Amino acid sequence: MAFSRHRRFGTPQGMVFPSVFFILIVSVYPLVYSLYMTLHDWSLTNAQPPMFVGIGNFIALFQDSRFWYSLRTTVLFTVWVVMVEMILGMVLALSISRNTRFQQICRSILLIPMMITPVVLSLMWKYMYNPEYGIINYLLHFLRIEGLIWLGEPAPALPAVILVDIWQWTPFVFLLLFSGIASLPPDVFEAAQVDGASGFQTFRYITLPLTIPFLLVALLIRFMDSFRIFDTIYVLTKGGPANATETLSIYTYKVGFNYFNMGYAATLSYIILVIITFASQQFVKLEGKA
Amino acid sequence: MKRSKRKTREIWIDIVVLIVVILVLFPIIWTVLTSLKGRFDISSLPPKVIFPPTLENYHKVFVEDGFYRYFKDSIIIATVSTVFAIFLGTMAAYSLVRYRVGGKFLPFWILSTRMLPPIAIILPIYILMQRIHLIDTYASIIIMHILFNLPFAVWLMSGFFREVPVEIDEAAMLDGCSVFGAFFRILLPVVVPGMLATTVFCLITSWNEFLFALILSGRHVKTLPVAAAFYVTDRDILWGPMAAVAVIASIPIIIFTFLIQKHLVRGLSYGAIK
Repeated sequence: MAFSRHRRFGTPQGMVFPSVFFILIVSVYPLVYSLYMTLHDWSLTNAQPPMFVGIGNFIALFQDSRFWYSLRTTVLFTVWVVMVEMILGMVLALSISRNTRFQQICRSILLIPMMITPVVLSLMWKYMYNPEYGIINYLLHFLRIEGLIWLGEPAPALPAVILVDIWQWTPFVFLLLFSGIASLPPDVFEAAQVDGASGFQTFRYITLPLTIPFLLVALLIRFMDSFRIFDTIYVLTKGGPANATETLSIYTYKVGFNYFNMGYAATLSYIILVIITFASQQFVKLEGKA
Repeated sequence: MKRSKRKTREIWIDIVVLIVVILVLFPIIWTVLTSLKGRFDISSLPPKVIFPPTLENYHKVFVEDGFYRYFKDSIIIATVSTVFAIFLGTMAAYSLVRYRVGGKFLPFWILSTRMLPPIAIILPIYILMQRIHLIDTYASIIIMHILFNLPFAVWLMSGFFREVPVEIDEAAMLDGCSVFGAFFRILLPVVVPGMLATTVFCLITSWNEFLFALILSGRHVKTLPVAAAFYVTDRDILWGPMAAVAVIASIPIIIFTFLIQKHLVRGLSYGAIK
């Protein structure tokens, strides 16, 4: 392109700088500041200035059983929701792939859950989970199954929270995979049909391998978002009962804004950042190979 | 013979799909029904499906509890942050795509903000905002929502710009347009549909955002999700009014979703598809 290369500002090249400047101030500076916080004992409840403790917060972290438990909860939550959403999303993508009027309407309806405000739909589910007059226990009663105190007891709380996430995000995986499969060249499938491949063979040897790049994209996005889950759990259980649904984000939030222990909370938040960044890079590498 | 077998299979699949769609819609329909129930119908057992509908929950929430304020706050914050994100993002995308400023690194760096978990910067943001007395103001929440929407706008707009052939800009400049003239008069009008889709996405993101709105809200400024989250406490359960809030908060989202249906895949998977 023969556009002028002179003068950086006031020319089109300079139009990127306001954005760069904004991101530097609002995200890079806080990240650096947060790193500084991790090295200090910093409580907002007393007037004392932050005290330098070096890697003291990190040592405390390794001895903090509540941290390990919340890490375990986060991993359990992430593994379950991602696994179920990928499988269900794939099944749906294969089932709702025809262009009949009925299936088109179904596809449109499936878009709704992922767009609704997470807080709002968590409230909807909280009402349905209510042990006294929630619809879920009523329907179970109808089937002669004993209802549960879904969000009030440690054992069913995590599965209940997982179910809400699956309800909201399976349609997203479905949508990604559906559009991925739709973008594949149709002649491959025709060739398979001519060669007499069965439905399962077509899926196993043609659809699945060709869809792997889209599966990895869905996996990456769902991993990043479920590992840092906050809104849904905050509204449904606030991490309770007995910390059964306390994920890393919820624990960090509590340490920071309930106990006002800013240094330690910053340390926790850095751990989340490191885990997500590291794991995402592994996914991106896989994506590059596929 | 083979055709009819295939037909029966398709019908079975459609039946299963119908069940899935009902399961997906059920919580939403149930919430709409609840929002229309009177005080006594809500806690009745078995749950009533047929009942005299009333708007008393909507009246309670909006008139008595003043939820119109949180609506106003959410609309202001979503609109202003979106306008800024689109304005800055479009400019940045133009120079990234047409001039390749910063090579490969800069677009990647801007995009990496997508991977940043909000909780990672919430503590320093809280302390800094407190220091400059921006807690409980529109400004602080708007700034944070711009941060989420900006990389998104840059990424989507870059895609839309890339679809426009460079020859169009060059032709305009040969005909005597200045660089900015070509940008504003020729290129920008071409990408307006994409820009509208991006706008709708940004509005939804801001409307739905919770964590930053939660810690930066206060007595004077409070977004809808924050107000809704605190409306239901364990002691004082007002499910009817809560359902009314849920319905009103979701209507704009559902309308917007259908407006941008075509662009949904591209928007939702941003940052992960090259």
